[in-house]
Amino acid sequence: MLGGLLRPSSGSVSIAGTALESLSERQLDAFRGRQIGMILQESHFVAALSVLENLQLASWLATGNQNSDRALQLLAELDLRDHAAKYTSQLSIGQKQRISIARALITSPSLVLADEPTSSLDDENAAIVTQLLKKLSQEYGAALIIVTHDQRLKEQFTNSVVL
Amino acid sequence: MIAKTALKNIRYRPLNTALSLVLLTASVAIISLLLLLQNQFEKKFSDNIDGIDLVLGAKGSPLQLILSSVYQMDAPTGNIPLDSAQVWMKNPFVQSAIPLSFGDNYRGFKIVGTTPEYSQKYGATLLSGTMFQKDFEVVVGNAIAEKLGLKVGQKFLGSHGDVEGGEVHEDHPYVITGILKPTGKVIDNLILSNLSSVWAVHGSHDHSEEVTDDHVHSEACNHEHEHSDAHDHNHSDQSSETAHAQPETREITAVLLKMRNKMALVTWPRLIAANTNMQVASPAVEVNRLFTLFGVGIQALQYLAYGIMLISGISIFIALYNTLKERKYEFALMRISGAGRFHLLKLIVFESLFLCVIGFVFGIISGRIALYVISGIASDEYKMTFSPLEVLWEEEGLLFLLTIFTGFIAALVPAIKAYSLNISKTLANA
Repeated sequence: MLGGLLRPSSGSVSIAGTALESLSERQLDAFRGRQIGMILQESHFVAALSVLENLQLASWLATGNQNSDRALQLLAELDLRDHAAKYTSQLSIGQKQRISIARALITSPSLVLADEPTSSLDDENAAIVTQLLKKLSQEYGAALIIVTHDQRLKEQFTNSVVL
Repeated sequence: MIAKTALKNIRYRPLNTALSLVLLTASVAIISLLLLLQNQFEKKFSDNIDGIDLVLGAKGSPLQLILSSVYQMDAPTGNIPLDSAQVWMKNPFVQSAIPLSFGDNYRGFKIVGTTPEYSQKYGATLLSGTMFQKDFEVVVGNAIAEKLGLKVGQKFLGSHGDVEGGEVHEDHPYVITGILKPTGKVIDNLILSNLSSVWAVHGSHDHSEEVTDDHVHSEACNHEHEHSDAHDHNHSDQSSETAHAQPETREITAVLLKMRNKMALVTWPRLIAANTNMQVASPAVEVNRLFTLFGVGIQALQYLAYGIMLISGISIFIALYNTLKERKYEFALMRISGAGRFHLLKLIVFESLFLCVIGFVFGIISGRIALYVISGIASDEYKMTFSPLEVLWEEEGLLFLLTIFTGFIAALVPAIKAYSLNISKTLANA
């Protein structure tokens, strides 16, 4: 609901001063692209596109601008610069998850939603992903919401809501 | 970006793409080939009957008479005596009459005894040299000259019959006096001589006398042509020519008639069939009959091609629909990244349309390659060539629209499915 995928049947969801339920379907798509970055439990990509093209597509869909420089810069920060021309199916799960992060951040969103970002990763990759999420969301000034049951991840963050 | 993604998607699934493309290419190629063949075939046939209202010849199949005398494609029905043909050629209803006499060939190309009027009828002017004047002087059609490398002044021996390898007439060499310009009609593949050459080769008894007779005459004939091209002049030429001839020995194969009075087109066939041993046939009628016969076959092939197009449409549909399941997450993900529903619709329709456009281009090209091959065979066997470079804007434009329409219909259901994809449900099942 916070990602604008479902509409509230009552009440209101506001992000950055915009009430989501007041937006039309089309406006909501645009808002989601621009303001919300999502990282899913399992990463999906457009299989026919390379890593770089996936990032370009995400940027283009949200802003109408392919923003290749920024995509390359993000990949460099994630230590994936060498994989830019590969298909996503050629990458490991950890690498894919890092690309998901890059894709979530390429539009400089004000909110990053991460759903179990580390659950399918080993300790080492989980640590890398956690560090990156923290570092980058601070760097780009995005609010970060992580849903997880992963103890490794919980230890890293202090402000948690336990349900 | 959507277009680029669509292209990348097509390339990412080479087998699906190849199947759809092969089917599309095949159907477009067959249809465009048929369109071109039919169109050019009919044009070729119609071009050659310009200015021929009726053909007078020996009794037999009227279609055979037309094919042999107008298109030089079939064996002649037989010969008719010149004097009985004269009666009709001199009829006041006749505007012009061109006699034709077959007998010999040179390396498979027919040598036709006729009058210079024949080449005028086809608008074939001389490329080099002069028109035949004496016996055994010939004018060569452009295609033959090119194929056999013939030059003005060269001599050759004709052989009997209308196919290569007949008995060679060694005592009567022909001399080439002229080469005609290309016309795209049957005359390109003919060797023309005067009538008496044909008679002379085939053993008239008083040979020498004929030669002098015709010599004198044909000079006179040419002289008159320079003054005027009026048909009446030519007509009187022929009557004077035949006046010299000895009727009982002279035979011709057919006469191409142009009528002054169109009523004769209707009345003559019965009149001549009832009163003489000859027949007249109308090229227009016979060619129409031929087209109707051909038409059935062409139509059947066309239906086949449309069938293949339908199958290629179904193949695109199945390919898109099948990948929909695995691409569901891809679509959901694009929606998360800010893609509207319309973007997904566009993506799928684009993929299908790209396939169709590529298939259409391939099809048009391979159809023309096929036509080029067919043209090569046809020019050897039937002395008929087709131009693969001709574009039928109207018909092929329609074909293009049909192809695009097929692609659009095939993409419709998958596109709507992608359009109405529920993102949160899709991702919840991930």
